[in-house]
Amino acid sequence: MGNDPIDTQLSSSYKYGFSIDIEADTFPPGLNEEIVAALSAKKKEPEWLLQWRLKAFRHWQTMTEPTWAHVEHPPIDYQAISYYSSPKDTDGPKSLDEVDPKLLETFEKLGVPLHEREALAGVRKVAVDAVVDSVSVATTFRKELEEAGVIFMPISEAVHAHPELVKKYLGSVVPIYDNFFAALNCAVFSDGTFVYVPKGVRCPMELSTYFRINEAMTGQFERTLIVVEDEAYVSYLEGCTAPMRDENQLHAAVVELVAEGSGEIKYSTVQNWFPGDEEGKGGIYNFVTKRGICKGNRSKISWTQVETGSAITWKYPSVILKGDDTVGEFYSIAVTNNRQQADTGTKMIHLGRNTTSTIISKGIAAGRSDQSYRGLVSMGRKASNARNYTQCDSLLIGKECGAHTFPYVDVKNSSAQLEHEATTSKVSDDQVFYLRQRGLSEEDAVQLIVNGFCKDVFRQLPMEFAVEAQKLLEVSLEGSVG
Amino acid sequence: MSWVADLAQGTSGVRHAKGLAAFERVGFPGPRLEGWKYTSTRSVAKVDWVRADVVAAAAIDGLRLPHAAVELVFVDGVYQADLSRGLDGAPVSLEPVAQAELQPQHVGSEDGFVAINDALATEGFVLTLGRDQVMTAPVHLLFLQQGGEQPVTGQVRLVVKAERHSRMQLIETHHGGEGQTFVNELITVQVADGAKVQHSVMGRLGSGQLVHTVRAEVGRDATYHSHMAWLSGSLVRSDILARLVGQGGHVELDGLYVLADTDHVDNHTVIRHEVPNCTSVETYKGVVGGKARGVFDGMVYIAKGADGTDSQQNNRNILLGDHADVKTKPTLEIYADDVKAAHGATVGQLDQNQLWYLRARGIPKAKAEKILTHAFVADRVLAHPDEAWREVLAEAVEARLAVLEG
Repeated sequence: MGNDPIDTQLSSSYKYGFSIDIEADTFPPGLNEEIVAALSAKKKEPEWLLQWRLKAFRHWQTMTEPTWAHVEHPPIDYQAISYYSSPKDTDGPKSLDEVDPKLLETFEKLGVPLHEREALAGVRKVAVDAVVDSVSVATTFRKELEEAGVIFMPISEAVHAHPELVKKYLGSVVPIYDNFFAALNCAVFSDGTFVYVPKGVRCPMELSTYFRINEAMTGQFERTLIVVEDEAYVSYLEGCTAPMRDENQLHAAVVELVAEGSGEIKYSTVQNWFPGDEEGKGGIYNFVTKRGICKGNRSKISWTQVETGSAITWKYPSVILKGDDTVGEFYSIAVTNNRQQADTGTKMIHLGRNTTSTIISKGIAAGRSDQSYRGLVSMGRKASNARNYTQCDSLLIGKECGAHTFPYVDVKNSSAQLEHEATTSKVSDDQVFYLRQRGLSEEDAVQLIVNGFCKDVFRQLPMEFAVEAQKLLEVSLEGSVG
Repeated sequence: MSWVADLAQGTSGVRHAKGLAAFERVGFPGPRLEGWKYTSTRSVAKVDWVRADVVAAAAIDGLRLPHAAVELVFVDGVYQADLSRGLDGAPVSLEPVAQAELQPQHVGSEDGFVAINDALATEGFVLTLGRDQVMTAPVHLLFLQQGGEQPVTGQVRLVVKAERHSRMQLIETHHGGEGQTFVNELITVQVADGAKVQHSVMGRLGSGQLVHTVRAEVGRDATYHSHMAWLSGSLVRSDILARLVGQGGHVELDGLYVLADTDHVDNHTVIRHEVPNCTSVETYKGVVGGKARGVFDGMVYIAKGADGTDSQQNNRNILLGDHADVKTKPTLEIYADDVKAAHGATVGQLDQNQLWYLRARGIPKAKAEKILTHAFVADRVLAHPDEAWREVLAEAVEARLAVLEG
């Protein structure tokens, strides 16, 4: 069967590629201790945080950029990036009315439910913390959350409002020495989200952050920290988009999750950064460190991600299963098209007894893209009765793409049990033929097959996201079917 | 200066010089190399080895394979013409090859051991089976590491050529003892169009150390079947690179490792599908106990344009006791779309349901465990088509399992 009808479909363009002119307050490009200090001063940060940043920066200078990922890109000039960009007027809008209408317009175009829309709220309430470039602009639903005792605010505010919590947990999961990009983030992170759910509280709504890179030549280094205490629960949604630009933009975020005894965190991501054009020009470099720790017994952390964007993705959401009877989950769909490259996967580090983890990874490669699953499952000496099940499947659409699997398995305990399965195949001609016989067009047939392929992961997404994710998938693969 | 440079002093020739230069550039592979992450080469690097030589006698009587047509004996990596037999009148021919004709093999390799072989191997042999020749009885390569007062090392360099439509069975047995020995073998297997090579290796190395590198090239409609059984060794590194270069080719890699004490076996395999419509099946199984470490690092590479590839890769492990460990890494690298590729890996203990089933029928726990462990490894032994060899292998596997079960 020919690829042509699909190829023509694939060429649909990036729908979120607009850039708005809001006056921005931006640092000149470059990185040195003064920039770090200036950044810290700008945010009126306490001394300990400044010292922490400087320590990270000094360490970062001694590190070299890792090269083991299965991706190719021109060297990144860290001195050419501006490390702070904030929309002007950061004295803090108190309500939505004070927010720059242009900004609201951006969100409107993106379809972020920034307003407390009744329709959405009727189904399920979602609190949105929107981040344009580096500063968190508006936090909705805050009051209702406050009543429940949930803290949901920009991390820059949390540093002042809840210094003891931030100090205790910041860097506790991803230490400043962790890796090159994490160290860079520690030094220059500009803003992000802080969530704290106290003991026994089930967060009354889903929390959501929308990240968006707006200013040209700015890197975005946000930092997310989510802590749930004993028997608490939170579901957190993260969505990302960026306007279309010719240059590549760097995004090096750090996300840390801490689940205490019987606590549960569900973290869902729909990532739709600008992937670059058909020739691979522009696009986001998405080098992200995401890690959670199931600290207390019986706690659970679940990562779900739908990755359709970014020129290069380099991301391994991980779970350290430290407590006994803890559970880690990773559900992922990664779609690459055109010249996109993705090297993504997860790490499950089993330390406690009776720990279980599940990894379901679905990769779809089209066009001339290159995609790798890279994962580690490690079971330590003390991880008695640890269990893991891993399934990573790849679907190839087109002759020019690549799909790779690099699973690392390391078992030191004889009662541990682990299974890994992976398959790679193309959309089967038989299946397409069958569906076309029943009157579906070729695109619809492939769409249906792809949706079926991804079903296991879609099921894990909160409802609002599942719909969006399915749409995104359609858009990403438009024109690639054949 | 490392021992490699010392030992290279007695050599001349372009290959030696190039090999030494390459080794000096890359050195002994260390944990920073992805392919050597789980194996330390200190026990080879930090010893002052001397070259092995032709010996007057060796205790090989019990090690011969009666059903072999040809038997070539190597002691500490050195060919022993007097101890070998069966070459006269055999369809297969063995020729020593002048140094200059054995091309350097390290090119394009990050592997220091191939460079060492280039630098130090002073002899090399080509084993050829002519066109349309079918050998029913195997060629046996008997390797004994017996050592001496000083730590000895030997470099083995072999080229096996199976010409068009020929069939050959090659069996390597590696035996070790108490001595401090290290053999570095590089064997190149060329399977011409329509030919079939069955290449079996069994290693019982004890304190001996072996780096075993296979480079196989498989032609059109040809088959290369490798069957590895590693039953002990303080350091065994088994490297296989099998390239499918003609359409319709088939590669089958079977492996078994039964490890106890402080055994260390690192299986590192690469199957490269370079042309369309080839198939490959890889199945490695391991039982690892004591303080042993078993490693499986298998890669299936499907090049651009290699459509119609069907590839399966599987690694299953049973871990016994709390001091052993298993590292497994089954990887796929795929650049073609019309392919079927699947891989799987498991690590675990014996199936509790199966154990319970047997115990419910009155079989004591220890006995039940034994039955299940034996059944787990038996299918790898049975995967070998030669009955006489299966018997030898089964006996050796039993003996090793007995050690493991204490």
